[in-house]
Amino acid sequence: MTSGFQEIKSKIKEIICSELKLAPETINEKTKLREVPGVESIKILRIIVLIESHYRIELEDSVIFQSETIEDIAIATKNLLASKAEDRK
Amino acid sequence: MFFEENESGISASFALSPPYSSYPGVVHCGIIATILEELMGNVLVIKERRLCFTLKLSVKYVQPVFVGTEYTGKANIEQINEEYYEVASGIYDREDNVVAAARGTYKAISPVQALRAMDIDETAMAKFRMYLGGNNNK
Repeated sequence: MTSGFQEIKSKIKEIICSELKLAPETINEKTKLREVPGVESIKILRIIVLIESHYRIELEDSVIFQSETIEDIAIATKNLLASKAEDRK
Repeated sequence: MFFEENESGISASFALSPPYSSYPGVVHCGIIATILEELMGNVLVIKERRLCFTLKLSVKYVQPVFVGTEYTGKANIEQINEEYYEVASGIYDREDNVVAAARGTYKAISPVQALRAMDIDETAMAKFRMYLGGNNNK
């Protein structure tokens, strides 16, 4: 699966909004996830699993515990997808 | 577990009894890993008609799995490479929330290789052959 960075950010935002039942306009790519009302560690874990399932990847544990914003997760996702695509060449 | 085949993979419903718990009422993480791995191994047999062994298993535990509660396990093949398969599985509660998820890498082997690698005879192997269809000698 090839995905542009903007598409990745949009998809991750969509997953987060769906999981946290948020209106899309309430967060942006710079929003700190742990500061979003209603967020707890279990919900972040579930979001990570949903992202992994969508993109068929496995994010490093450091991404789960150190990513602060949607953009951080999107960068890690993009890099992993690029690395997988390279491996398949 | 009884596996049901669907378009994308397989699923199986289950509820575990107290002997499978670690903390009271909570299923042991090793049991959850076993179920996730079993789902992935079986999706390869059912969908691909291949015997495989596990090269890598990675599990993420999202929420406790409770004894006496019904869950659904699902598995699907994500990538078929020349040498190996990449497979995913998950356990979902009644609201379809994921409570645990796994990814695995599997290497296909032929029945002949399996016979050589494992301590089983042709009689035991016959049990597997019925699932392999045209892939008996691959």
